[in-house]
Amino acid sequence: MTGARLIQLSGVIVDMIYWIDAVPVAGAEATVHRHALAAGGGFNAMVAARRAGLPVTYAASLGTGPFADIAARALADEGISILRPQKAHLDQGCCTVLIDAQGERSFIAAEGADGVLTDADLALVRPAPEDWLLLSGYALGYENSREALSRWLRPGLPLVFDPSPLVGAIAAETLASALAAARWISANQVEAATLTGVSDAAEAAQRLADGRTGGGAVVRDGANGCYLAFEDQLTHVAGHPVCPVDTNGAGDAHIGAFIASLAFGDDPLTAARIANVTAALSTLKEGPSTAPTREEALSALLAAASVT
Amino acid sequence: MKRLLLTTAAVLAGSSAFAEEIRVLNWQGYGTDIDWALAAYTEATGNTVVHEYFTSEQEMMTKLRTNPGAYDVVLVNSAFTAQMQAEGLLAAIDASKIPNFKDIDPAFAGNEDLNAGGALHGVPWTWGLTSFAVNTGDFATPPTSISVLWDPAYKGRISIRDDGLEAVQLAALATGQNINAITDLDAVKAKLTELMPQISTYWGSENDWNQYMAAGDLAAASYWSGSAARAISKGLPVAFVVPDEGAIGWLDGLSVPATSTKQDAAYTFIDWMIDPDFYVKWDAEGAPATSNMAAAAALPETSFNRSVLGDPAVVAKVQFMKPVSDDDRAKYLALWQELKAAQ
Repeated sequence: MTGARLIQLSGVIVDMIYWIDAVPVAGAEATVHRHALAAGGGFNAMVAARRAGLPVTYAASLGTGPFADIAARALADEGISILRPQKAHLDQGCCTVLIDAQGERSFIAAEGADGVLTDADLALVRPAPEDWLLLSGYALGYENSREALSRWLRPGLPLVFDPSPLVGAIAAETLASALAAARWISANQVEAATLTGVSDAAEAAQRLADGRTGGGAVVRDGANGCYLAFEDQLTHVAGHPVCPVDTNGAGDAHIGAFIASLAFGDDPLTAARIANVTAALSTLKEGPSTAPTREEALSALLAAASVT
Repeated sequence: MKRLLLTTAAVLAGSSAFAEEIRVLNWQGYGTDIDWALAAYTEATGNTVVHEYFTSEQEMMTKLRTNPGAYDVVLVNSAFTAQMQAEGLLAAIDASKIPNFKDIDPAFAGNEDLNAGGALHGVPWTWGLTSFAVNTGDFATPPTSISVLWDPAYKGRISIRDDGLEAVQLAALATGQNINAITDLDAVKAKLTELMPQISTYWGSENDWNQYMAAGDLAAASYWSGSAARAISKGLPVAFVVPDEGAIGWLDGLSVPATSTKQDAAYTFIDWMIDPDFYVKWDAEGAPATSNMAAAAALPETSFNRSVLGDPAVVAKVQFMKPVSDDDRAKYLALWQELKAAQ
């Protein structure tokens, strides 16, 4: 059997997560209450799409080494296939995540194989018309992947572009190639403002969607849901009310669920509703890769509809 | 044949006092829900057909367990028939109520898994293979051995899927082992270790595979028979190979849930689904291979499902997949992860 799938172009890294009271000043040591090692980066959106029932192929790079082993195991556990043999002599990147008592996060990230994409690597990415590609701004920021990506990106691809918090640091030409190629852009409010210069999320969504044939833009607005701009229509899609435990990875869950929903043939408004519910439910568990299944999301959506 | 089928169906329909609504549980888009076939079936029998779909075998079994009486026909892969029979989910098939059953290949009708518990619990319907296909630009005559995947002449132009179970089973074939009872995993590991440097990519979809082959990036790659049939019909320069070492087979049966209250009507639908008349038309739209010898014989001579898979000698080489225990699956996946990481 064949069908739509998500092809992830953004790398998986390994998060080393520390729950601490406060980020230590130079020379001091933090008191760690808990720590964890987990696949992160491009992993979380793939998990959300996979749990929604969409086949997923990881087309960014996987290296070899202790971090790569963790990433490879996480991919295999979620049923995500890789497209290319693992790169020898290069381990996966890692990110130290410090979560303080207020829930604020601080990051120290180092790239590895996740930051490498060559022309030859990308030549193996052959999306079918029904497939979806996902690219994050992180991949466009890395020195060893941005140029090949810029050469490879072209209009007409079934591409969803997630600018990521790095958006302000991406070279203008590189960013322009992604914006020109993207069928859909999914950004949070801050990223959308950086891209458009407009702080109003609704207006930013409209600007990002402008001229995007067959697609549009989603501007995610946390608990308030998202703004969907598609075919000259702007819709505010209300958030799904929950009491969040951990919002880490909620944006990725939103993107993965939105893509899966489009891949299953849902219209963009339905996809945005399902994405909102998926993102909300993902905050009910601690950790970055906690997206619910599509059935769970649909049940919650139906339950919410019957209440209102 | 059509007239005969209509007569048979009318007789069967006539045995019911009134038309029934049959509920079918299957993968979406897998034969039983083709519009023209359902319209013809309803016209012939008066019975209507309602579909419900599953997206995994686990989901299918859960639906049967939790909704007794809700379904009358269910698609069950032969690797799952024994477990479901043991759970009491499936009714024994009364083949005398399925006129077309007489043309089912005895190799399938006698399949050990479908005959779980000493009685037939699934009517053999469709089957297919995981083997490999070659680029005819590289092979004027298709090879007869799976060892071609290991030929250094094709280094960098070989592909398989990123799937531990499939990789291990292909290596089991290459080392002369039973895919369902691998006794020498070290030999499998050694064989796969030799294969890894040959591989340039892990193909992930038909589209990947077809594009790599069309571009000449690949000389040989594992492939599914149904996908190969579609590739060949699109004019791709490929030949599907069922090597001397054998191939990995899957077999799908149509079963009747034990709790169905419309079993006679279910038999008329199953009979319709294995009928050569239906199959010949379905084949033109891209069907898997049929278990019905008369249906295979009714295909055009050039049809993949007749010329490649319609040969009893091919069926004889196939090792049909049995259920894989969780322990074995974990072992194979760990081996595959280790090999990929050792590049």
